[in-house]
Amino acid sequence: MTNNEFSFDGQAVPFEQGMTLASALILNGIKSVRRTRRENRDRGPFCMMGSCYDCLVSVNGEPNIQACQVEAKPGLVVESTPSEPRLGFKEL
Amino acid sequence: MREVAIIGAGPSGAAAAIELLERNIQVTLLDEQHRPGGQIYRNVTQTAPAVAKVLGKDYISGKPLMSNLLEMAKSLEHLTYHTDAVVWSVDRTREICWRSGGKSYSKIFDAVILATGALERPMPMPGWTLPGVMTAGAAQIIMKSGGQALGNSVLLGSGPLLYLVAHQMAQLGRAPKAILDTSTFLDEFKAAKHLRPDATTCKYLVKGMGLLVELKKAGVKRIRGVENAEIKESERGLDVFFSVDGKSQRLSCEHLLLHAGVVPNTQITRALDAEHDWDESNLCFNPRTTYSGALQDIDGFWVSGDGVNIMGAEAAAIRGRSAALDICQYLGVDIASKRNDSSDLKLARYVPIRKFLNQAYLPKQWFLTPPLNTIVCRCEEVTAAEIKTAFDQGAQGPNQAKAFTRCGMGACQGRYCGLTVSNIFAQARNISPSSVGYYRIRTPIKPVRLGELASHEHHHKTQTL
Repeated sequence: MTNNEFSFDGQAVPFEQGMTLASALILNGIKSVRRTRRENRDRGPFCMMGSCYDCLVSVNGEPNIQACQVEAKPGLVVESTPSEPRLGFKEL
Repeated sequence: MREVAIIGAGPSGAAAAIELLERNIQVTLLDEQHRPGGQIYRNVTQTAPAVAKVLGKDYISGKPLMSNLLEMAKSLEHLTYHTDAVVWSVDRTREICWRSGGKSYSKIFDAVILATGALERPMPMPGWTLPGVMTAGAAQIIMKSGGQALGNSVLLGSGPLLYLVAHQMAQLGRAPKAILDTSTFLDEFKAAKHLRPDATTCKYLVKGMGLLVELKKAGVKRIRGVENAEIKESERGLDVFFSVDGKSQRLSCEHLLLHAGVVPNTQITRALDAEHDWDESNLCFNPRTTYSGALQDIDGFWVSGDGVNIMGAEAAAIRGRSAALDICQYLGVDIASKRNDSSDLKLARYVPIRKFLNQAYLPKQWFLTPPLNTIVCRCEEVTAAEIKTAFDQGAQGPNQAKAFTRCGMGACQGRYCGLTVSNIFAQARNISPSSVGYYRIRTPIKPVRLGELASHEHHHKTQTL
């Protein structure tokens, strides 16, 4: 992975300085970042200002992070949110 | 020492902070972003000059205010500026809880300014939850924070932001394919009665007409009177179906950007159970305040900027200052020497153009109360049909619909369905949204993690010397 890239579900995503994760994802053609709970449908960033909570991803293993509120940093491991929550607690 | 909390570092929060700091009042500024500016001046202190030029003069005009705030944050001890801080509770004792960096904090303040601005009005229609459908504001935020525009896009809705965003995208080399405008020439003609030949009104009109000329030059197609839009996924990306004068049309794109104006973000004033009034001119609820923004029924709270009612960024800064001066009086701080009495006059300037915009670009019924197969609550995926069923089963308003269907109970806490659900009940019961009311908003007003709660730390009030 080069300097200005993070990974999303294993895929390298390049970004420019100052971009949020959600900006970088959508500018790289990645529109869906999670599956919805009730209908199990694709869902992606909508408001980009931290209000809609549609862009929830996990970042370095921590779930339910708003991709539009986190600035992209090299080497971050970002993963989509599945419809069913991933069980398993780090501490156990 | 008296201490004032300000929530939000957009134009009104920043202007209020500076006004208070200059009078040596202790200020705690809480903002969700990493840098000041709010959404309107987002990233303005960092944007590359070439990008700032594209974003325009009005955007750049926010830079001195935000730079000034950053300078004060560095040099003044009586300013505590928490960036990346998400407020999750505000109560009538003026205790504010926020989370930041994996921990939660709280403190009680002598006065609070809520400068949390506006949200884009929900524009529900079938398919608006598909990936690639975003708000026009979202497309602009992408430009402000990364200097790039989305490609292969179509804009749908009405109002000046739609055209501004299209123009900015065109200048960044990615002109949208089309603007599908839900308003008509007749709407504008009828609203023209509000226009006045004063400098402010003319400035906005000239800007708007300039945008139209530029967009025509850039080859952006403009279709007016768009109705009954519906979005479907296809191998081309997104297909937008709509009708104009009863004739069906279709357009394909990768990104569809919706905009139907903005409405005050009332989450905190709702959580405080403050009085709100239905604003017939902008079809939204506004918190009931005094002229200076003080909440009429709750002691020690002010709302400023677009959180009071929508007047725009320049007016927001003026209202931030006027709220700050009102707080000085409330706290017994002498302001006589610096009172700026022309602030009334300055605000009045923005009224004619705002009245025109509100009437000309008033949202249309086809998305205020969308078709039954539309998902209304994006979080809990509740359709208009389910809300209607709740009504048929006896639910009288949004709070009962919530219990029946889970609408408004997701992570966004009703921000993007609240007005729609109120509108659906108003239509079904044939009464005004004012009588229907709105969701009862409760703490936490934004999700907070258990681990953050477990690490909660209460800051005791700064002792008076």
